[in-house]
Amino acid sequence: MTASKIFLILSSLFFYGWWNTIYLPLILGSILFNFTITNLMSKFQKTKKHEFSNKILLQIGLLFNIGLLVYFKYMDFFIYNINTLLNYNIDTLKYALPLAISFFTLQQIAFLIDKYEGLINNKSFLDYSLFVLFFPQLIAGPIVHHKQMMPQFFNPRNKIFNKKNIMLGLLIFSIGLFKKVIIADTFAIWATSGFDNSISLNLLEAWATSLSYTIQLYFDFSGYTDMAIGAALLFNIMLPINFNSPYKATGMIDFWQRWHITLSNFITIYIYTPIVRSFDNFSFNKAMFATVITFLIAGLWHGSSWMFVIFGGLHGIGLVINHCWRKMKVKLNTLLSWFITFNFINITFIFFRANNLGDASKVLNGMFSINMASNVDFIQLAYFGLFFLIIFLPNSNEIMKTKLPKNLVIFATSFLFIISLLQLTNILVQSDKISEFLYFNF
Amino acid sequence: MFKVKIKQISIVLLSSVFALISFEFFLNFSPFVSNTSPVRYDEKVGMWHKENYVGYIQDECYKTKYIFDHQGLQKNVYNYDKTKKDVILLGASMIEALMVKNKNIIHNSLAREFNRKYNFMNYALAGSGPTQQYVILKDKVNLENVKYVIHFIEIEGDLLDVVSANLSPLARPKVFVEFSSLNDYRIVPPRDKTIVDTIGDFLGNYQLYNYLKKVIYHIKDSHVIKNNKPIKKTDNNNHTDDLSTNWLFIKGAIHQINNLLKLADKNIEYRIILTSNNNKNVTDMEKFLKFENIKYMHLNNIFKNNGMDLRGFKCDTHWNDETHKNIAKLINISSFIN
Repeated sequence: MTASKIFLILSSLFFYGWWNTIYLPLILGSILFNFTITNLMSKFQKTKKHEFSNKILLQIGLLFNIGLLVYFKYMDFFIYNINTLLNYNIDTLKYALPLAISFFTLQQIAFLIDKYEGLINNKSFLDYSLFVLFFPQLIAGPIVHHKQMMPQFFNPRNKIFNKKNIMLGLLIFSIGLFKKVIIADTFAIWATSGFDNSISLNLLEAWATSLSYTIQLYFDFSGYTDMAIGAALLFNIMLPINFNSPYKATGMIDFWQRWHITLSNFITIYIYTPIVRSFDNFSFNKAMFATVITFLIAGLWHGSSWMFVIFGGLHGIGLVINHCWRKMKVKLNTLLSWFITFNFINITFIFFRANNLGDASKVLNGMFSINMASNVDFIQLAYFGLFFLIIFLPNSNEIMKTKLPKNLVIFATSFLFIISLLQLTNILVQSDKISEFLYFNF
Repeated sequence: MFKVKIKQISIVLLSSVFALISFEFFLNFSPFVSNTSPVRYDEKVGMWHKENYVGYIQDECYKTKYIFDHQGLQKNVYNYDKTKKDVILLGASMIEALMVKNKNIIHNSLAREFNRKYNFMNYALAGSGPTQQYVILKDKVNLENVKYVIHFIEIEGDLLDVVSANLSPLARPKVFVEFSSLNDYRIVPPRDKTIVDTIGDFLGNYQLYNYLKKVIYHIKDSHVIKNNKPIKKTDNNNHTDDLSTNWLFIKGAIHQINNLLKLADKNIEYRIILTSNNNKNVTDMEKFLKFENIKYMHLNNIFKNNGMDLRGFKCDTHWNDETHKNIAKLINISSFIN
């Protein structure tokens, strides 16, 4: 068991180092520091003064993790804002964002808090390292909780060669690869053209641009998640689901129960709940206030830009409106609810994608203009049509739960894998660069 | 056990075939559509545009749809009017201009500038030089209704395209005309069509074939770069500094085109548009054209005098849409043709 854990840890470090070896010491240092803190917590738990000491240890741990994130991810953003506000000329650090820093920091913060709460009894450095480093989920999630992972690492049954898991893993991995290179990368071309390469957009172009990005983002991120889930299954590890057909959502509450589910869970437990707990007494208004604050933080977590804060703020407001409607027992027709929700998401993703307010207003102005002059690209139109068919098909989680005939699994896996591989090579040859996942930037 | 494995292998093979077919379909109907070959084997010229063909050409800065008509010419934006005289355009890839929007390519820009006074017909072919263009004029153009032949000569490029020794063994077949003097020449027909040409012509219609070629070139290039080997230039293997033969071939081709038009006895006027940044080459050519009494214009100078640039695409040296439109404008303004 130990040998297989060491193998997985080394594989994960190799996987991480493949991108850039410079940040290997950073992730290792972060793991070592957090493990030391949690170990010290275990020791103090045996003494009388444990609560006071553990609180200090927790604060040190939180300060370290948040400090790391701020230093590498947000420092240039702060410097830029200080320079703009106070007319200073402080040099920015210009560090390349360490891969996966947002993800491994969140996981370790959750571990620290749960350790403080006395919910964890782990003492093994190997297990802790594997929990943080496990390569399928290391780069862009799903954000895993120790409760989901640790028991699986301990389970001796997971050591056994499981043909069913391997077949299912390969199928889910291939579905993810297909989502990324065939669907997301196709829509990416239209999204990039509208956001980055156009000076102005007319009505059709603007809608095509925003819808393209909405589609790209989902298939890119859920594609990665599927690949992570599939790769983990090869090692008999079941990662939590991260997406559950979010574009079928009929409300914002529903949407966040379907979109980036592991992040929703994290912010609910570790941001929203502590904020609500900090209030003297609970009320609907306070809960709504906490929701908006939580989403502003969640927005900023995605990246160091005011655009992400706007995105988070809009989603917070969307959730508040949805809660108010629920409270007032307003019931809308399902199709109308879906239509409103989808369009709200589509519009807010403009802020998620745009580099600045100018870019965002360019797309928004086009979407609400009456300028129709445009050559309709029928191929693009057909792709949008296909997308609306696809979103009503079963998602990867539903496929995983379905008992599929073995021959169908073999056929689907090899078909999806081969066509995706062909397209991956095509993109590489055409643009001479690898098409990265969007969430690698977060 | 064996039976099961055979069945599973068959399923994988079947799905692979299905994936290949789907990928061909996907490439055809996606923004990733790539450049299929616009030419086929031609027994007179060696290669010629596919008739009634629609294709795409793309690079980082353009993605253009091109359309060839029933004769394999870049499509005109208007219908042929037999009551009007024809103006024939000869040239290479700059004039063929697959990457320029059809309505802006020189022949269509000229039609606009001259208010459709003539039928402007674009007989340009990428990879051809004046000797091949002479054969195109002789064998493909009906001179019955022609008023002007406008011949675009890009001196430095054409010097390399007229000599068969510069043709890579892997290149498509081409006709050559070898001159011993301006009046003595022999036509070297393109090599016979081989099974490889037939297969190439057939496969050239498919995205997968072009995809495979790109992958192979990419791997070869990466290998060359990795091993720090100098990149072999296939189209210029036997190039030497002595270009006297090349000059003779260019001048011979021009001389023979001039003769051909005179012999047609239809009052066809021959015009040459030169492009070159090499003053010595321009002087040599101008001297020859004056001697032959052929009206010409030096495009670089005309553009410079009018405060314009012969601009190409950002990612490609071929003239862009604006330059095509400007050339047509300058031809009109300068009364190069009436």
